[in-house]
Amino acid sequence: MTNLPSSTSAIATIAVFTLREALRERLIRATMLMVGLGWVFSLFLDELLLTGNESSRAAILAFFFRLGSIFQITILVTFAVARDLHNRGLDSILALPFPRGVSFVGKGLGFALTALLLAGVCGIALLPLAPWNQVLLWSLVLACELLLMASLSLLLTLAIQQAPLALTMTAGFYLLSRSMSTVLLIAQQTKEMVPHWSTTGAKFVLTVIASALPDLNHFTTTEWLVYHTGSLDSLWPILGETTIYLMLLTAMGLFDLYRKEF
Amino acid sequence: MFRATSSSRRPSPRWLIALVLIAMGFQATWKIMTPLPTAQFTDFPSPPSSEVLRLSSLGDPISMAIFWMVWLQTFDDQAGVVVPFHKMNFHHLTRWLERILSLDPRSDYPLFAAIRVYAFVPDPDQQRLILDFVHQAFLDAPKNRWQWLAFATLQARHRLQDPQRARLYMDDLGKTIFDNQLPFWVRGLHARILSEQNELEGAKAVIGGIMVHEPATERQKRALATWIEQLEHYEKNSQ
Repeated sequence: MTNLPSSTSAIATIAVFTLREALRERLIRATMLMVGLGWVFSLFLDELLLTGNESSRAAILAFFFRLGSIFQITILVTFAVARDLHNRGLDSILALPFPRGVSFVGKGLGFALTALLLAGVCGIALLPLAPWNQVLLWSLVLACELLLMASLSLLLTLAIQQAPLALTMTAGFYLLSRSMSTVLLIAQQTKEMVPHWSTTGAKFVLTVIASALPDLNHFTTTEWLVYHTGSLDSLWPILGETTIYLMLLTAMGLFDLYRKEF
Repeated sequence: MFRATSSSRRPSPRWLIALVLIAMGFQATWKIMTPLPTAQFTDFPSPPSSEVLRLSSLGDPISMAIFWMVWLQTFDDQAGVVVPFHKMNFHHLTRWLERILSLDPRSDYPLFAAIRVYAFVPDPDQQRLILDFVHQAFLDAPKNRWQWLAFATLQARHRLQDPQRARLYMDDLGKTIFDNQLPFWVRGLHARILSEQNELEGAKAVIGGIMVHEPATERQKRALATWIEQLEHYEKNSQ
């Protein structure tokens, strides 16, 4: 009888294989393509601007990299998990004598490493345009944003088991999380301008929805790269929010996985 | 198996080839019959509210402000037609600039474009609109935008030939920013505008301030002293 590895080493093994699978999916090539396109795009816009400089290029690149890496990580996680479900790859992992949570946490950790890798590459590509400490801060926060989106994609794809629907929901979640604080401001202004039960009710509903979303509006702030205003004080609340929301997503994912009949 | 290799290909039925050719013929005919697009001038649209603009930025207003500015400044170069600025709606343009500035209030770019591009429009009414936009932007954040109002004053005095407006701008500049914080050329401009409007005491006070606070060379000091003498001479003669 062979000795079974501990849960920790099983998690590490699954994580490493998830990362390898991501790399096999031409992640590096796609990331390099994103970086190259981003640079070309920023140089082009810089030529159009009357007073183009490094700050404006940093802002354009930051916008491009953030959207590009979010797009990459959600596509990668959604299709990797959907393929696992389709090929019964997940069944074979779940058949091993480990708690179900091991496979979920292992997969999540693998995707987290992928997110870190992506954020690192984006950070390196931004280094010539902004001070290193601001770029480091921005990259760390981008990693947090990617981590949340990867976890959400993992949860939704496992729960819904349909890649297109999971992707649509992830995109909706991202757009809502990124714009919720502005939506709340508009609702607040409307409530003050038109004091009526309908505007108060709408504001209440929006506040309830906002309480269930991470405040991604405060993540990866371009201001740090353009005006160099980032500091460690900006990082702690984001790390706190990432930890709490990651815990929530993991708990929901495990809850769904444990009640499933395979 | 269904794998198609070059050796396993076989000719398609003739009716399918005919169908492809007929479809291509229809497509070509459709295109030929459709009239060619004509170049049409589109004016600046009315801008959305600041909130909607902020919402569209998805939490990244700084980058979005750059994208909107690029869009705005290339508006005169439309498909097949280059539109002179004076044919455009400057009320809408100034509102666009104002909204874009609200996305990134620390950016100088909308003010730079206003002074260096749009203020050179030949129509005096349109020039006034642009200069008033810069004036309002200054009043919203005087310490960061005083240089743009100084440029607007120059434009109002020399290009627009509107000394009253130049005086208004310079007065607001003087009220908000201490004189000794302004560069030599702005204070000189202030003195010039005051003297042109026969405010000789005010002009002498500004020149005196320059002489006290500005580390001027002997030659510059002599020039300033001569300027004061000329003002006093003019004052005596006009009494």
